[in-house]
Amino acid sequence: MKFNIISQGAFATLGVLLKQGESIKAESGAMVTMSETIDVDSKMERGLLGSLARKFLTGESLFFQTLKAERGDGDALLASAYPGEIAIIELDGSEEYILQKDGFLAAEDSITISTKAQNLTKGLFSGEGFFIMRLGGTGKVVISTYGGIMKLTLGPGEVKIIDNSHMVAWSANSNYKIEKASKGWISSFTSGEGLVCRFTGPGDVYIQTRNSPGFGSWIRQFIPAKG
Amino acid sequence: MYRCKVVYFLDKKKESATFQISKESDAEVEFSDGRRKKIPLQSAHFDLKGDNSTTLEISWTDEAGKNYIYCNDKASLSHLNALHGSSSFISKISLISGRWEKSNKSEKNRVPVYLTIIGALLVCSYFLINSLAPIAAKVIPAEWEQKIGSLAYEQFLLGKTKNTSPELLSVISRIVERIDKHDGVDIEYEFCIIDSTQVNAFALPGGFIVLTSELIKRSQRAEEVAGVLAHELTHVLERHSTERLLRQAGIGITVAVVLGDTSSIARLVEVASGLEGLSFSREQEKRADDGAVKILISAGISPSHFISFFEILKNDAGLSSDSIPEMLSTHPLTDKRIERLSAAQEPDTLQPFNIDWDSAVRQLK
Repeated sequence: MKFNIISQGAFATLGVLLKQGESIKAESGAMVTMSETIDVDSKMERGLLGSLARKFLTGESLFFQTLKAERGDGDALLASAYPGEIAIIELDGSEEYILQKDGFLAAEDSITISTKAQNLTKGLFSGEGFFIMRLGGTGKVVISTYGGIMKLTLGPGEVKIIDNSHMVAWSANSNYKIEKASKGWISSFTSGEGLVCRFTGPGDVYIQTRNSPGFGSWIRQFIPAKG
Repeated sequence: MYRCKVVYFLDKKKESATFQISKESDAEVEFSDGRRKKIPLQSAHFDLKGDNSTTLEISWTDEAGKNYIYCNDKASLSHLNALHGSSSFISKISLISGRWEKSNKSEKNRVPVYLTIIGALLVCSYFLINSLAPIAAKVIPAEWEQKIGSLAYEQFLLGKTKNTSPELLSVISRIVERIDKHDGVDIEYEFCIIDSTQVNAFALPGGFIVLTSELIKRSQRAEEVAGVLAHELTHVLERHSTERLLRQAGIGITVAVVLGDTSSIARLVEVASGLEGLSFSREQEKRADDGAVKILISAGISPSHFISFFEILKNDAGLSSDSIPEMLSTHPLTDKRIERLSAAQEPDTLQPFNIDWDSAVRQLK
C-alpha cells in the first residue's frame, strides 16, 4: 500500500496504490477516481452505536468508505470536501493521535478509530467541538486541513500557544489548556485573539494555517443580503 | 515479560522504542538498533500526561541527559507493581493507577452527561421560547414587522407564478378593501394569487396576503374568501405571525430581539420566507376565529359563509390530505370550531358583495 500526495496546495489530492487484497478506509464521499479492480464499500466502524455516536457527535458520516483491491492491484484518488493541504501521519503503535472532527481523510485498515468527548471548557472554547476522534494502531493516517498544514514538534514539557480552531491533529501524549490570549480579559478580546490553546509537549501538533470559522466571517461581509 | 511500544525522548530528541518489564532485568528501554537502557525505577519520576491524562510518563536523568518514556498502555502499571520494589515505589504506582482510572472514568461519563445536558437545554429552550415569543412579538416595532413581511413576501414569491387576471384581482381587491375598512387598524394590505393545486391562504407580518388559485376555485362565493382572509389577517393583527416567526427562529434570536438587537432582524427574514408551512397554536386559531367573526359582522358579512367554506373542504372527497389547508388539517377539533362559529350572531344588516363570483373563478382556467 502506498500513499502519495498529488498537487499539494489548496486542492491537494491523495493518491493511493493498493496491492490485491489490501484495503483502506476513507471519509465518506472522498473517492474521486479508482481502478476497476477496486471495490468501494461502506463500513460502520465500531458497530451501529459507535457509528451513530460518531455521526451525531462528531458530524462525521455514519459510514466510512472502504476501498478494497479485490480483483488485482489498483489505484485511487481521494480528496476532501474543502480546499486545503493534506498530510500523512505514520503511526507505529507507540503513540496515539487525536483528530478534530473534519480532519480525517483516509487511513490504513489497521488503524482503529474511536470517538471521544473533550471536557466542557475544551468543548466550548477550543474550536474543535465537544467530540473528537482518537486514532490508534499501526499504519498510515491521512489528514486534511483547511489552508496550509504545518507540523509543530514539541519536546517534553515544551509549550506552544495555538489559536483555537487551528488544531487539526495532535499526539495523545501532548495536552492543552484553554486560556485567554493576554493577561487581561479586555485586551484578550480587543486583540482579536480571545481564547487560545496552551499546548504542552511532548508530541507533534498538526495545525492548519487558516481556520474555517475565520474565513466564514470574512466572506460573510461580501455576501449581499437577500431580498 | 511485558513489552509495549513507547515514545522515548532524550532531552528533545524523539525515538521509537520498546518498554520492557521482566523479573530478571527489571524495567528497560530497547531501541530499534538493539541498544538497551536500564530504567532506574527507584529514582525515576512517574507522572500522567497527555490529552485526558492517560499517558504514563517515566523520566530520569543520567550522564546522557534527561530521559523520558511515554506509554499509552495501562497494563504497564500493573506489571510495574508486580516488581519487587520498595513500599514507597508501590504506593507511587498505585497513586498513578488511581489517577489513570479516574481520568478514564470521567471521559466515559462525559458522553451521557453531554447528551443529558443537550436534552435538558432543548426542553428548557422550548418552554423559554413559548413564554418569550409573545413578549418579543410585542417589542418589535410595526415598521420592522412591515420590513420583515415585505422581504419575506418577495422571497416567497420567487419562482412562483402569480395570477394576473385583472378581473380576478379586482374582485379580490374589493374583498380585501372591505375587510380593511372593518379591521379596526391602519394597515395597508398587499395581496397576490399564486398558481397552486393546494388550498391555502396565509398572511405574513405587515399585511402581505397570499391566496392560492385552488382556494379560489373551491370557494362558492366571495363571502367565503372574505371569511378566510379575515381569519388570516387576525393572525397578523394579533401578531401571531410574528410570534410564530420568533418561535421558529429560535431562542437566540428571540432573546436578541427582546434585548433590542436589530441585526437579528435579518435572520428573521430568512425564517419568514418559509412561514407558510408552519402552524399556529390552538389558542391562536381560536382567537383568529373570533377576530374573523368580529370583522365579518362589522363588514356586514354573515359568519356562516366562513363556516360553509370549512364544510365544503371537509366534505370534498376529491381533496387529497396534502391539499387541505393547515387551518383545517392541523386541528383535530375542526368540528368543535365549526360549532363555536355557528353560535356567532348575524350582522344587523347584510351587505353582500355585488360580485359575479363564477365569472371571476372562470378567469383561473
